Amino acid sequence: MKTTTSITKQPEILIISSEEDSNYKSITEWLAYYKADFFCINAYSDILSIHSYDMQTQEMSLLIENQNQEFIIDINNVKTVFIRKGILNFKVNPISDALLKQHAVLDYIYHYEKSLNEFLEYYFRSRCNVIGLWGAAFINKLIVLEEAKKVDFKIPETFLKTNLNTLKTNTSYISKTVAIPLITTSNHKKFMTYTGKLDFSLFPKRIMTSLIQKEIKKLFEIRVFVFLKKIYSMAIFSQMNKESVVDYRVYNNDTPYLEEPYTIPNYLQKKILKLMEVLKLNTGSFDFMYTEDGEYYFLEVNPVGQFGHLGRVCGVDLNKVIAQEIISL
Amino acid sequence: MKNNHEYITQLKKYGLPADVLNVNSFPIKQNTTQKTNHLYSKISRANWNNFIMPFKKII
Repeated sequence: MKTTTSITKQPEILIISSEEDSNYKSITEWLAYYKADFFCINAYSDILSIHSYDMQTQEMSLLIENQNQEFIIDINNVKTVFIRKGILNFKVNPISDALLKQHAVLDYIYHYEKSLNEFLEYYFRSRCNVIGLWGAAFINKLIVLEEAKKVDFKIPETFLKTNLNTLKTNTSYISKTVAIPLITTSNHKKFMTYTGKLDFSLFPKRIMTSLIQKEIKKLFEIRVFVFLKKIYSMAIFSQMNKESVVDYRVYNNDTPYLEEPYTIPNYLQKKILKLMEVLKLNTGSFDFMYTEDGEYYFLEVNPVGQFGHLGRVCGVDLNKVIAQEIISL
Repeated sequence: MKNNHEYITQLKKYGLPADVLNVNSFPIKQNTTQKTNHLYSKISRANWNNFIMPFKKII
């Protein structure tokens, strides 16, 4: 049963995350341990409205509703907003199916939500620290690779192709997803796509635009997690398993590969921070590989990558580090 | 689709982007984390089962 009275809060820290995220709970537990004044918006279940805003005084309050309670959040004291994962759900009252089927109504709602969401981002960015990417945390892989090249990272030779016959036949290539992996299910199985070697024989003469990279012989992969200016990294000896040679996420539970804490050189750290500045990121998980020639190759960055495992390998509770960093801002 | 081979046979005719055919599959029942003998590799320093507490004072 929904209570009729709203609870008013004036937090200093606002955390936005989906409850599905495994790090969310731990970070908030550490914040509670340090007695931080914070409020969490659960992107999974909370419905949000801009309750009141006065453009003259810049004072704003948000109305947060979920199944059990409603809160009025006075955000004039907010110093830091951390968006871990998820998107804000703005309140849209239920309407009839007949109205919902009209494109104009859907367009109206879509642009209504988009405008409020953009404005909220603008408002927070102009007056407090915002950590994380606003919105769906989607970052364009192709633009990231172009920008990585500009900050002098080595990247594998990269192509976009519709005709694979134009590639050299005596060279080994891999194909990667342009945006997100495809996950499909049948009655029996769940299928998920990974980065894998390109088998020319499987494809017709012309296919949809595909992201292709020249395969590079690596010794190991490196996963780097950056939160503000703090950098942690581990080496992943994915070559130890036949399955995970190309993509370390293809994991064999019976014979796990070796993972060890790793220190990346200073020049690589500087380049990472420079790339983050260009991409307007202040946290992210970077993937590199270390080749047989002793070179570091940049592969990709995930703005909302999982970092718990990396922390365990490095012997650091990254949830605690994140909580401390948020409080110290 | 019962396995990777069937998946590839069915999907390759559509001419979708090349990465769509790099597939790995899981039984639906085992969608959750599988039980493992070791959380990390046996030889990893992160595997605390292999950690031996020093019993002599180190000078």
